[in-house]
Amino acid sequence: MTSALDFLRTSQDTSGGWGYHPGHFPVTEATAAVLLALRDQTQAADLVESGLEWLRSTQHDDGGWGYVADDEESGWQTAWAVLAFSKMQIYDEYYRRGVEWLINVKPLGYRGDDFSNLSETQDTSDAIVNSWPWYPGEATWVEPTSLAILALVNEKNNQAAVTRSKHAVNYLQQRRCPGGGWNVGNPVMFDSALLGHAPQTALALLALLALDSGLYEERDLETLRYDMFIDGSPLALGLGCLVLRQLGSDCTDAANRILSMQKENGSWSNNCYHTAVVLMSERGNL
Amino acid sequence: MSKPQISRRTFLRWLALSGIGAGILVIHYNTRDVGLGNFLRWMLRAQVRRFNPASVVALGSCSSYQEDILSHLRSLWDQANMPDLSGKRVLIKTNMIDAIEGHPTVTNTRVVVALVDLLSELGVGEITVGEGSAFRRDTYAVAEAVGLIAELNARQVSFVDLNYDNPRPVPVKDGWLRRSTKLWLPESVLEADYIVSVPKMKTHHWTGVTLSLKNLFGLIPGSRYGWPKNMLHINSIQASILGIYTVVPPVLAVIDGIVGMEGDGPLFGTPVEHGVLVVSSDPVAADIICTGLMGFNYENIPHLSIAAWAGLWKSAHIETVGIDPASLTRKYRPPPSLQ
Repeated sequence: MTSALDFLRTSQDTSGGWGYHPGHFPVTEATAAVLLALRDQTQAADLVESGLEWLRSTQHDDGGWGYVADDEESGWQTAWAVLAFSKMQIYDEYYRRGVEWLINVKPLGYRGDDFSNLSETQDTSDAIVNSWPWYPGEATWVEPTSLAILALVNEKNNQAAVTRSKHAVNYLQQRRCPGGGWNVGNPVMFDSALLGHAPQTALALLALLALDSGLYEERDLETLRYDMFIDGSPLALGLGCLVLRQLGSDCTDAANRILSMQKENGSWSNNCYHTAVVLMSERGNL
Repeated sequence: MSKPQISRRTFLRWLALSGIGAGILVIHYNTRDVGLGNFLRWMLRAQVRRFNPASVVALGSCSSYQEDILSHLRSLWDQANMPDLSGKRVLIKTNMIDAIEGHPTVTNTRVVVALVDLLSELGVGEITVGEGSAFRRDTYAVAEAVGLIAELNARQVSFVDLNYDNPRPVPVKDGWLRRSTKLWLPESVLEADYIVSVPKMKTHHWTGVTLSLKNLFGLIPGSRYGWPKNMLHINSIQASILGIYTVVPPVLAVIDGIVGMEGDGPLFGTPVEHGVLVVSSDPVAADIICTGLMGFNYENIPHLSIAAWAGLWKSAHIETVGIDPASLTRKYRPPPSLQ
């Protein structure tokens, strides 16, 4: 069987980025995730370097990143790119501009001029309008909020980043599903309690753990352990294992199931993003 | 100096011109959200549709998923005068937001598989089944959970998670998506000659019903727009549904109402043993008829009443064939938002 690294090597676009599937246009999310997966593999140094170049070449003038190279709109993918630079400790101009974009992106309902004088409150509406949307001017949701917290976690001396992340933590606490964990961001719909889903629960837990190990609840982990098998995708199982390994919890069953799902070409789901998540889960960190 | 005089004719002329001017201003004000040009164009198109031959909607009775669904679909397909699909590329857009036990949230696998078999019989060149869940990150896992992947593998038909398909931008059309100039859509959608929208007949808390038009929301890639594709809700969910409909290849409708869903749809409604299958080459007409079969008035379902008003159906006349709609009509419990 071909290794996952070989799959990622052969799937890399000549431009340096990765699409979700081999032969597809490179996308920011998959490229950043593969860079995170390969960042400590010396035999992949050439892939990482050209992947970073792809990220640098696709950054917009406003500091953000879009879906693919020719998507002019900056959005949630910026958090992935900043996270990749941050984890590789590349604090260059591209990273800085990405951080500024993230700190200043305004969601639906935000009425201030900017976030430079953001104050700390426990107010519910403050938490909503200071968290992160998929795109500027839209409502805030769990996944872009979790990714932005992770991307800004090294900005400990940046007051705006720190304060906005605190509001975002408050938002995640509000958006927790009644049974624990998170879905896209709708814990209750017309009096019906919705269930948490593994991918969003894992990302929210990674964000909370990055800031403070005491912010999660046991019911979040129960939801994660349950839904990662209900979902059953390499993405859900991989992200689930990533969290459980960070917490030192056993994830043998999930790891075995993940292994059984590897394709002949070394991938999971023939998807570069999923394959990268599985590699990160084996390592136990982003 | 003599007093200026205005003749009666001049006065009436000015009065008429003022009336027309005031009328234009009122229409302009009331259509400012959509644009006067769009408003007039849609209104004119709707009038032109009055002269087209009637859209045919074929209604069939099928009491359970254990019946020979392929035979039912074959018969309805013939009755509905569906287009010749031989040699064409067809994307079957199934409806799989999430698999939740006890709630008929997704199009039944037997219906999708029977349609695949029918299209194979009809000599379709290439069949793909696709969906991009607005609620689950991985649609493939939902398709696997409901047994669809195994059935498709046995037929060597591929399933595409439209959330992760190759992205391409297309210009928006017809004035529906006014906040955007382009829409990113999956390659599998844009390269298809036809899309067959195969929804579950069910209620929906935001749009009233999920039928063949609302089902098109799943064509939009979450990897671009996020989950639950909220940007399009902000644009107005009704306008977005119609905006998607106008940029994608021609849409045909096959609607699974064998077991429908009433009440708190699209996720937590309860099953309705309805026993109906619907086929049409005009999805607007199909949805209007199905809304009636569910016991609702389409004029209370904004995206359908707007679609009809704006002439997005093929004809202002709808002819039903097959089973008499009166005998298939039920009274679905409405979603909480419409109660």
